[in-house]
Amino acid sequence: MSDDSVSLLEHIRAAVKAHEREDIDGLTSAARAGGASSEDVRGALMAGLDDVRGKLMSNNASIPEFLLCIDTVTGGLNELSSVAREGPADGTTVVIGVVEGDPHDLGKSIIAGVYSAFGYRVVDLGNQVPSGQFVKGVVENQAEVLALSAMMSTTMGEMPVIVNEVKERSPGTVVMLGGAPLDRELAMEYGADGYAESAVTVLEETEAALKKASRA
Amino acid sequence: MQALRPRLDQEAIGLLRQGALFVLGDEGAAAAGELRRALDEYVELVAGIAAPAGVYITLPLLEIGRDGVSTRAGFIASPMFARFVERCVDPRALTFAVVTIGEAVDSELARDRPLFDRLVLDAVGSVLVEIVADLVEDAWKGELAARGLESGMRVSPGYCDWPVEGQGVVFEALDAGSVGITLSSSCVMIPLKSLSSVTIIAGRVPETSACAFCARAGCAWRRIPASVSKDNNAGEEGASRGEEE
Repeated sequence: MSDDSVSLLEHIRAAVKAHEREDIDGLTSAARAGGASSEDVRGALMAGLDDVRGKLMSNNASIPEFLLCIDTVTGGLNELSSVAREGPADGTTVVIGVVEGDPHDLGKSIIAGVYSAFGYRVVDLGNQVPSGQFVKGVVENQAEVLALSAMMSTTMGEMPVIVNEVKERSPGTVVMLGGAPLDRELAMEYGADGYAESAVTVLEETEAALKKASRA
Repeated sequence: MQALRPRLDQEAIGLLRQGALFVLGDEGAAAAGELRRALDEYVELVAGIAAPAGVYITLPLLEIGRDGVSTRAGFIASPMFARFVERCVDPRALTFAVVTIGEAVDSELARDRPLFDRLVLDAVGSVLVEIVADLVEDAWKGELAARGLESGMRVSPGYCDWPVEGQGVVFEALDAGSVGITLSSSCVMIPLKSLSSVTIIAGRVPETSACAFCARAGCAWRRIPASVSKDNNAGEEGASRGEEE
C-alpha cells in the first residue's frame, strides 16, 4: 500500500470521527483507487466509529453525534460496495426485528445500524414481526445472533415464546433482547443469552454473549 | 365531550424547535451544526403536514382507593396517582384527553432516512404531540380558575405505576375515533404520535406531580427532584419505566 493510501485511510478514520458524511464517498473511492483493499477501508471506517463509541461510553459524545458517525460509515460501506462490486462484509449474521403487535421501529433501526456499521451482516425483519418469521429468518440465514426488541409491556410477553422456538430450531443462535420495558433480569428470565440497554452497550453485550456461547 | 383542532402558530413552532433541541441535547456539542440544519428541515416539514387534534371529557371522581381511583369510565389502577389525588383538597373530577398530530407524520417517520435524520424527526414529532396536549389542556383549564378550581399535571397509561392497559379506561371515557385515533389490541395508539392522559381537578392541588410520591431518583420521566418526594418508600414497588408513545 502506498503512502498516499495510508494517508487516505487516516483521512477516512478522521472523517468518520468528524461525521463528514459528504466527504466519505470520495475518500473511500480514492483509497480504493490508490491501492487500499476493501478490508483496509472497512478497517479505517470502523476504527473511526470505534473512537466515537469510546467517547460515547465515557459520556464525551452524544447519541445524535454517534448516529451521524454511523451514517458516515454506512455511506462509506455503500460506496465500497459500489466501487468494489462486493456484497456486505462477511461478518457475523444477525437477524433483528420488533415483536408482533409493536410498531416501534426507531430503536431497532439504530441497533441494526450499529451492528451493520461494525461489520455484522444484518437481516432486518422490520417491526410487528410474527414469531414464526423470526424462527424462519434465523434458520434460513443461519444467523449466529437474533436481536429482539419490544417497546411495550403488552408486547414483550411474546419474547420468551420466540426465544424458546429459536433455541429449539437453532440451539447455537445467541439471542439478545432489548427495549424500554425490559431489564437484564427479565431478559435472562425469558431465556436470552444477553441484554442490551441501548446502542451504547449493544456491541459489548453481543460480543460477550457470543464469546460465552462459543465456550459452552 | 369536546373535540378541538388547535392551530400551530409561530409561538408553538418556536416552542417545538426549542423543545426538540432540549430533547436531543446537543446544541453545544460537535454535531451542533448538523443538528440545527436537521431541526430547521424537520420542524418545517412536521409543522407543514401535522394535523393536530384532540378530544377531552371531564368525569366525576367516584372513589379513591389504595390501589387507584374509580370513575364511570373505569378504574385507574395507579397507587401513586391515588395517593396524589388523596392529597388534593376537595378532589372532584378527572379530565380525560387524547391528542394526535395525525397520520402524515407517521408516514414520514416510516420513510427510509439516515439514522440521525430519523432521530431528529422522531424527536420533533414527540415534542409536537406534547405541545398539542398543552394546547388542548389550555382550552379546558382556562375556565377552572374562575370556578375556584385547580388541576394537576397529566398522567398517562404506561408511565410510572399505571399499566399501559389503562389506555382502555381513557378510550372508554371518550370517543378518540372522532379525532382519528384508534387503539390496537396491544394498547398502541395509532397514529403513533398520539398521547392520552388523565388530569385531576380539585379545589386545591398541593403537589404539582405524582412524582412527589415516587422515590425513583434516576427516572428519565421524573418531573420534580427526588429530594422533594413525600415518601421515599413509595413508587419503587411495581413501578415501571415509561413505554414508547
